[in-house]
Amino acid sequence: MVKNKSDKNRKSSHGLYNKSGQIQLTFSWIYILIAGAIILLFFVGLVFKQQAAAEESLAFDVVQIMDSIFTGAQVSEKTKNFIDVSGLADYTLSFTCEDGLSEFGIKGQSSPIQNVVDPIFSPQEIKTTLLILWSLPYKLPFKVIDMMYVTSINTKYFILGDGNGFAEEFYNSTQDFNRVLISNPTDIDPEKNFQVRIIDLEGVYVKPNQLVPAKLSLLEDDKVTAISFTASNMVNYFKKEDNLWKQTNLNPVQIISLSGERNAAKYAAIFAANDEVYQCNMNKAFLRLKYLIEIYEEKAKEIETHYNLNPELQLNKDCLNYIQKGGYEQNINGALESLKNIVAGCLFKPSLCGDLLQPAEDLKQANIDLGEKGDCLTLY
Amino acid sequence: MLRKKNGQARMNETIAIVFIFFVLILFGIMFFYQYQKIAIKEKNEELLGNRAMDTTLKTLFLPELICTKGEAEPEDNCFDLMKLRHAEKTFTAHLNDYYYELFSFAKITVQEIYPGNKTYILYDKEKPPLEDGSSGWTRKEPTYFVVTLKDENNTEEKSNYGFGYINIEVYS
Repeated sequence: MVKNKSDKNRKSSHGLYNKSGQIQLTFSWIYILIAGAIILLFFVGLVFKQQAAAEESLAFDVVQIMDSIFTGAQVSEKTKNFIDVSGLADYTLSFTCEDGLSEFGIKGQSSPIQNVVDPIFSPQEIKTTLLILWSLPYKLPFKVIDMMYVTSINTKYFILGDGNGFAEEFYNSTQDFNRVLISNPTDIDPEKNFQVRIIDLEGVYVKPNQLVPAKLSLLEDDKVTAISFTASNMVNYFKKEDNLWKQTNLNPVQIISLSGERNAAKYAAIFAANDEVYQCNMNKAFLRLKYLIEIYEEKAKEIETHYNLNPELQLNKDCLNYIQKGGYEQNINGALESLKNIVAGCLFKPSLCGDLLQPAEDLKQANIDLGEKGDCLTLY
Repeated sequence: MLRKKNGQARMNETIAIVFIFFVLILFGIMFFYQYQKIAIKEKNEELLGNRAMDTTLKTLFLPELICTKGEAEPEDNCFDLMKLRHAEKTFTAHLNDYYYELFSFAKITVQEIYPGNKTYILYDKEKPPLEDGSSGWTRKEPTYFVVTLKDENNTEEKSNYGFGYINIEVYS
């Protein structure tokens, strides 16, 4: 009887242990599962964080390297640089300029490079394997700044019309660029290019609300733009909207430059994404002009003092008349003063910038006269 | 009693495993932190070096300084002393509103070696000191470049060329 009871007790206690063991085992597994899941989540989170950080870091590195390349390309004026960016073929580079501040970087990523000094003319977006950089000096009449043009091998430029020989000049000076001379808008074929820009040098092929060439209808609206040159260095910018040309600027944009080959401001207008980007970057050049005038004014004073202190130097010369305001009609001091006054207004009201041309021409002539007719020291 | 001891041993074992696990994680974090610290330091040094090169390049081609002769190509690595003498005034007057954007925290000096030995400090902007009064910068990277110095302000009215060097120090 006693044995029976003890057997029963052992059985029941064995069952209890069994149940307790089962619960403990189940609990352990749940615990392991939760702990494992948390650890896994932690590492998954870490991986995502690292991925985001790596992308940010890549974007930062890319823009830093691009900034250095741009600096090098900008100072090596008249040299074309072809940069292999096939590693960035999946990324879109974006360029903007608003209120005098340019930004460039990888689209959708933070940390773009900001620049308030250097004028950079480019399409708004570039997605390519080969970047093309080119710079030309902007002179008014002395060198003001190097203008930087950024484009790509898959941005195609269609040149329409002759533009008094400018078509040939542009075509010849942009060797290895993706450009073509055409005589009829129907010849335009975007092929597999990322974007196209039509350059209407006669101002007759691209008009507001006119149909865009048929083959361009397949491209996205923001990938089709046009620039149309009208009389006396005026341009209008267009973009495609529902297969029609839409003019983006209200008033024609004036190209402020002195005549001559490789007109930096005219080339800038061609490479600029639109009128806003063009004027924003031109404003940077005018701001630099303002500070340069201050230095040239001081240099003019030094040259004037030099001749006043050494009258024997101009016994058979006429140097001071080319410098002083009371001298010849085109003189250094008068032209510099006019330039200074106009540039101050031009920075606030862009429509006044056209007035820079006359004093710039006068200064150019006075400087030539100073050197050639006067055999004197020149300003620049 | 035996089971109790067994349970205690297992508990100690679990605690030891958890402890070792966290120690390993802590080691990992410390290693990662140290690695990142060194990587950031190296990156900063690289950026400073790049900035020094960029600033040198920009300075050598400054329209405010370069030697020009009408429509002809500018002379490479040449500074016009008649402009250089007055550039400092313009750079200082517009330091914060314009030239800082070009040179950032840096010091640009032109040292004449021949014929004179004049020093021209064109631009000087240090990082502002910290709240405790200590210097705002920790490192500076100097870059030197030989330049010719053209001076036309002489009685012979010849382009007299001297030479010197440009010293560009950028602060980190």
